[in-house]
Amino acid sequence: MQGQKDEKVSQACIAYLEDLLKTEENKQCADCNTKAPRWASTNLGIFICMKCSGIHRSLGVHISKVRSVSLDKWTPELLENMKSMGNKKSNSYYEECLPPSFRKPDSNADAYTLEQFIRGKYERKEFVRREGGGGSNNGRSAGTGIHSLPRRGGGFSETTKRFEQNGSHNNNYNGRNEYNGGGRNEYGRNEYEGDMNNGRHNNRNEYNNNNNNGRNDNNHNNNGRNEYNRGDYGHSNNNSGNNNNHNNNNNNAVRKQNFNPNSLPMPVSLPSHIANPSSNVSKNTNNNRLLDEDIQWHEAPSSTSASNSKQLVDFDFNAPAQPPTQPKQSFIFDPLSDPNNNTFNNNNNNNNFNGFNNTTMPINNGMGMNNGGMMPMNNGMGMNNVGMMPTNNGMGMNNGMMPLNNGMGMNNGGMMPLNNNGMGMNGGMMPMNNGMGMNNGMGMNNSGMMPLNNACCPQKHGPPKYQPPYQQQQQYE
Amino acid sequence: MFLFDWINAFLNWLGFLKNEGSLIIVGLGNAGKTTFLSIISHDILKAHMPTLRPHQDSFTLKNIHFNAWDLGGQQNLRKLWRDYVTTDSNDIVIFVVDSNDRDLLGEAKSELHDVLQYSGSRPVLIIGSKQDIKSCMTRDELIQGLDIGDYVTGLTTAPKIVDVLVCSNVTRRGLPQIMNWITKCFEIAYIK
Repeated sequence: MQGQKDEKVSQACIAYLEDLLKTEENKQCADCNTKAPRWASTNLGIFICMKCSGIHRSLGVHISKVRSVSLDKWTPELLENMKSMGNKKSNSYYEECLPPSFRKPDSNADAYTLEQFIRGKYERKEFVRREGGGGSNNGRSAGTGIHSLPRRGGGFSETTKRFEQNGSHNNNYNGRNEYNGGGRNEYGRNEYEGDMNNGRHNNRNEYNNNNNNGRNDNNHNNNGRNEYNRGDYGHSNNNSGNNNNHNNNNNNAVRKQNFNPNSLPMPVSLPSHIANPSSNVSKNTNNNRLLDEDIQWHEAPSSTSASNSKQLVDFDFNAPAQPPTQPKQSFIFDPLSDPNNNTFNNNNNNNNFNGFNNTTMPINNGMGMNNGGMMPMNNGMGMNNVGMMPTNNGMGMNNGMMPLNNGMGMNNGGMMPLNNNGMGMNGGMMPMNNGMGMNNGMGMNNSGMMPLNNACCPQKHGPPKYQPPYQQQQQYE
Repeated sequence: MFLFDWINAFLNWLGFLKNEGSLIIVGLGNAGKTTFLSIISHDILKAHMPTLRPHQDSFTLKNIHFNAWDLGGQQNLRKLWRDYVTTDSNDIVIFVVDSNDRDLLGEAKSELHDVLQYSGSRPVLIIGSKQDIKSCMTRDELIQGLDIGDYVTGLTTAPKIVDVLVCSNVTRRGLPQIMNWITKCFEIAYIK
């Protein structure tokens, strides 16, 4: 009997909510302006879309209590709350201090941007114009008590500015990746974000920081390669080093695990409430694995990619150069393979180089094939080079490397004068470079990275010096 | 068939046999069901959207392969629970409670007692999630608030495995104990 009565009351409430949803202010999601929201935060008194509701739910019930308009049960008290607030009133309070140039995330925003915005808006209350933080203002008290609160004159909070940076960075994030030239800015900013989030958003942090890390790895690899090859071919080794750069950068996306953002020093002193959020949650979130290491119960099906990436990670920067292994003869040409398989390509390339040094032409052909595995276009080029110059082993090496150096068009050109082995070779190479207009464009981008990778260009007459990562950081500050 | 049982037990002890089990994860909306499942099966922590339709995931603990069903927790979706819980298989029911939401504890209590009724002899594990937030309820408070003291201490008439464990999906505290509980409970209830 009681249940039936509740059911009827709930249905009446939902009918009223449907009317509320038809008003102009509630036709869009309060946070991302998506049309036709179907979810509501009962204590904030706003209507939100499904995407935002997921993020609101993760804030905890002390900040936002999410209910579905149609799927949940409603009571008159909750309805009263919704009636008294609404999207417009709530936003006039929570977004009062929103910078005029600020672009609110829209329905196309990715989850990370949206989460940052919502967390800033409701959890940290960055856009609320008043002094002090926290306190208990749920939706109702906020609605009535806005104007009695003391104002803080002008200026946006530190975190607001940082959030804007965040947004712009996100725009970079999709298209950028390996070849972006602005190495310095990114380095700083990535780290900055890592600290700001305190590891709460694990995926992003790891990704960013691993970009930095990958760069250091590259240096290490270049060292190893160059040292090994110096005796044979002199300065032409820089080519091979660049090859490794290219490949490792590709593998950056894979190398996501096992990196602790907090281990990096903080370049900028953060406000205490950002560096140490009040909740004790975020400090422990960097543990990717479960706490109890002894229990080997976990056989997640997705753990294979993780183990692949672990093989790649080499955090011991002082390790000696790895001795070359026997070239793998199992060549798989699969340009369509997913990025996780880059580990295979990477190994192949390292081995290929040895093959060039030590063995004969037919194997070089095979090498060209493998190197081109990443760029199918260049397969033909590598083959042709070897075919044109069957006698020059040394040049054959460079030729074979050309497909790899596509990403580094600049370096190829730069290396040519150094390789005085034969001008005929250079001539033979030029048409190749011309043919690769696309890759030249990439070379431009790489040139931006040159100062970062000390192993690349500047030291032409010797093996590049290895710089420990912390020294690099000091340069950037 | 004493011999057959003995061989089975021996193979199982060696880990050669794969046992199939299923987990039915239920609980009120925003309790942390989907997050719990995504962490134990994929180790992914993110803010999930509300689960509107049941979704399945699988993972392996020791030599038991679990199919886990994650059901939505909104009012209108709760009528699905009965269909999943009462299917005839080796399933363990997991009822997730948000241990911070004291307002909804009464609602959770009534739903939980329904589940305890129609789950029959199947084991039920109650998980108090979100223990990382300071103002959370402890295990004892949950037992008291959900009124399941009789079940936990085994004072009910029909034998039934019921327990309450607390965890935090964010800090991963308490999850290994839950995994241990699930495997042990499965062995006790279905493997012998």
